Amino acid sequence: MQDAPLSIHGFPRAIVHIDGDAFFASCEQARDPALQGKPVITGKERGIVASMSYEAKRRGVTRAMRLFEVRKICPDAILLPSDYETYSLLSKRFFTIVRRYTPDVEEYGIDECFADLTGLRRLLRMSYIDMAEKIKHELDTALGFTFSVGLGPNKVIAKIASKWKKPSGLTAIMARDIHLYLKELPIEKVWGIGPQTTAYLQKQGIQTALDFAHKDEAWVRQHLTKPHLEIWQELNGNSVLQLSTEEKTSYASIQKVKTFTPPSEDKEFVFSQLSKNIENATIKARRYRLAPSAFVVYLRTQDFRSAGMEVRLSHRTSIPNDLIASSRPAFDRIFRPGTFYRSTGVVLLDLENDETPQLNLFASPSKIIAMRELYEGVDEVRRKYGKHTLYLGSSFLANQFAQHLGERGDIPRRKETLLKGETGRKRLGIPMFLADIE
Amino acid sequence: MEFTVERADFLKELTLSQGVVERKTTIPILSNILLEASEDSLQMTATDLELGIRSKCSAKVKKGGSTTVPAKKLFDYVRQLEDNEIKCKATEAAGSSALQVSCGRSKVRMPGLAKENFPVLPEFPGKLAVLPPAILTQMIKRTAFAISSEESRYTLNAAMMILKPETMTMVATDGHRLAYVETDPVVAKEGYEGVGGELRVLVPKKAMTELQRLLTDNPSEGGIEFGKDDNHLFFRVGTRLLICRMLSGQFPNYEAVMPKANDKIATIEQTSLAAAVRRVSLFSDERSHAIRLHLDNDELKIVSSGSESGESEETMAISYAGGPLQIGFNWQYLLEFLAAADSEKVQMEFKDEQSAGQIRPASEEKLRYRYVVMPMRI
Repeated sequence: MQDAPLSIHGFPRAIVHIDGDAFFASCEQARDPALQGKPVITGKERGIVASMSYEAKRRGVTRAMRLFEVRKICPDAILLPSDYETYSLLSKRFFTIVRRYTPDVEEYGIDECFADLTGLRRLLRMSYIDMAEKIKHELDTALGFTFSVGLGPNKVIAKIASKWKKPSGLTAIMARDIHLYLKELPIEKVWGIGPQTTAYLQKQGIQTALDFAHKDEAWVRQHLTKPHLEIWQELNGNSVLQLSTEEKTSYASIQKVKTFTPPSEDKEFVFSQLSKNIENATIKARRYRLAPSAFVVYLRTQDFRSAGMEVRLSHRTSIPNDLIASSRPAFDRIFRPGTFYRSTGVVLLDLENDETPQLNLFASPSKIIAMRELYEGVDEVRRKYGKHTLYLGSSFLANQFAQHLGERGDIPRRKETLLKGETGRKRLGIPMFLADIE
Repeated sequence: MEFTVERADFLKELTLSQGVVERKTTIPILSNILLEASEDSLQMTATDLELGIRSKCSAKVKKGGSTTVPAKKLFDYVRQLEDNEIKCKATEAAGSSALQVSCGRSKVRMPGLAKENFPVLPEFPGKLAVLPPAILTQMIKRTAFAISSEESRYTLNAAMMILKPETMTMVATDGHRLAYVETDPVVAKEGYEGVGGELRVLVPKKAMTELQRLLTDNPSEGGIEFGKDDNHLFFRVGTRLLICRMLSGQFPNYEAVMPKANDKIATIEQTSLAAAVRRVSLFSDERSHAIRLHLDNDELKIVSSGSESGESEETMAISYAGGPLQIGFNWQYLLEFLAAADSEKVQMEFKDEQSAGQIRPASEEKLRYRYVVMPMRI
């Protein structure tokens, strides 16, 4: 039974999953050729590894490792502050290239995407494998670093394929060959199977993805949830998960978290960091015309312990003044004096459209309306002159200095050298390549 | 314990306990009902610690005693029994108690929990006031729907009841609308016995619902006796007693938001207004529930537009001379009032498009009913 194919088809559908290898570190290496072949690490401003090049990975550096540990095991590592502007510009190029082949592209994070190639064989006069190879070649040469590509009859198998060989792999799994891969794949490596489900499945004697695929549908329905059933179906070669190719226009929740350096025990400073996050979260909420009825605030200490609390609002609002005022009692309860904090965060919950607000009996409507009008003006000013031209007094301490002081405060090189007309906040939307001519 | 009880009597009291017992509880005994037999009656008690109900029915008691059994199971079983006479017998063996129920050819044995673990509910401390049932029923109907189901800064999950020597008042709000009803002093002549001075208490939403159930099935003719100790409120309806834990908390300052200067007054026939709002509501935005009222020169136009469903419009002749006004409301808030109002005509009183509107029955007898609702900004 282990050797029987799960399906008799080749590619009933053809889905590719494309994953940038060590994306952030690769972006840095592509932009500055002097870094190529060297252990490059990004995330300096957070004090932990956000991304590491394969050279660093080989030396034992892992994600989320503290930087002082990195220095111990890899003293010659090149530590760089994250430069999200460049990463997102290169990410856009990545997606644009994939869209030259098919319009059905799902951007799944900054460094990976799914694309549906079904039905394009005749048009492009090549096989699906050739298409995947061509996309990979084009990405590798245009962006200057490598991508891992997986081709499969559905999203779950494509994701398994792209992970099969990394970096710079190209793996194609036809439906009739799925079982050959699944029997070697531990169940916890399947996309969407988390540690809890893994532990449960292992108790049922399921060790590999193939063991799981061989379970009865009735058993899966009875013991697991709908997302797991969909994974089970895809492991069996059916395609049930659709690509979501639309751009996001709404959110169920909005989160803003910021780390700051050095960690601080100054209560007002930490509160102003929270205040700044609330301002940023509400800017985004207003852009999508959403307002929360509740939100969560949380603080994280220097030794990575978190404490948070949910705050309910008396009325739905996306005015930061309302949220900041209501957050203070919660903040006072979770803030512990004498503790050093490294980050604050806010999550806006239960977001709904806010264009026809229900006025409240116990809050002055003219004040609500006046505040809304005021913030229309504030948002306009920010659009024109930059996001932080206007901010609340409660965020003052957080806006007074850079987010990170000391060596973590190094700014990305893109921001060091400005072109004519560029400002610290507004730059041309092109990644700047930094090959020095000697 | 051993007793015989009429099925219909037993079932009626068990039904009343169902709203109170906890279905999902971490304290198993709260899913049970306490049965206590003595002399010629059976007393039943159910509680979720916030609310308790104690009632009685007559029974032929062979041997007094008590036990507790799962309330839902007992109710479901008794409901399905066919004969009139139900015999119950509690058995105690090696620390585990059980109840044997037999009725005609049906027989069951249910494991129970000893009475000692059942929470002790306070006794009725004596009446402070007597409330006429018909009036109280109407007051609950007119206010309970406006109690918020979630607690926030301005709202409590309770209505405020204010007792005075000659009048009683009930107020409920969820921050968006407020329902206020006060008795006319004439009610004092019809069985209302108030308190000296003034007494303000918060009645939780669940207690209001259960009280209303007790009132709709109230065989006794007399008034409802209201009592209070330091932590509980008591409502005695005939042989039944509802006990609820008192809520503490600051009820919002409702007097301040009752409109005083709403001089744009429209008088509208209630049933046709409700029908029009219901039709228009079908095409309103599904999330905001907003509809728009346009008032001008003895005419009311009600408009809605949902982004996907389309647009809808209704016009009706009314009596209005307040000058042109456009104002938005959540249609649910309007309909809930119209369903509770019970009046041929209603009067809507506005100030402007962003101040609270007040709606009330155009003619009133025993109750003074005011409904204050905040507009939506459109």
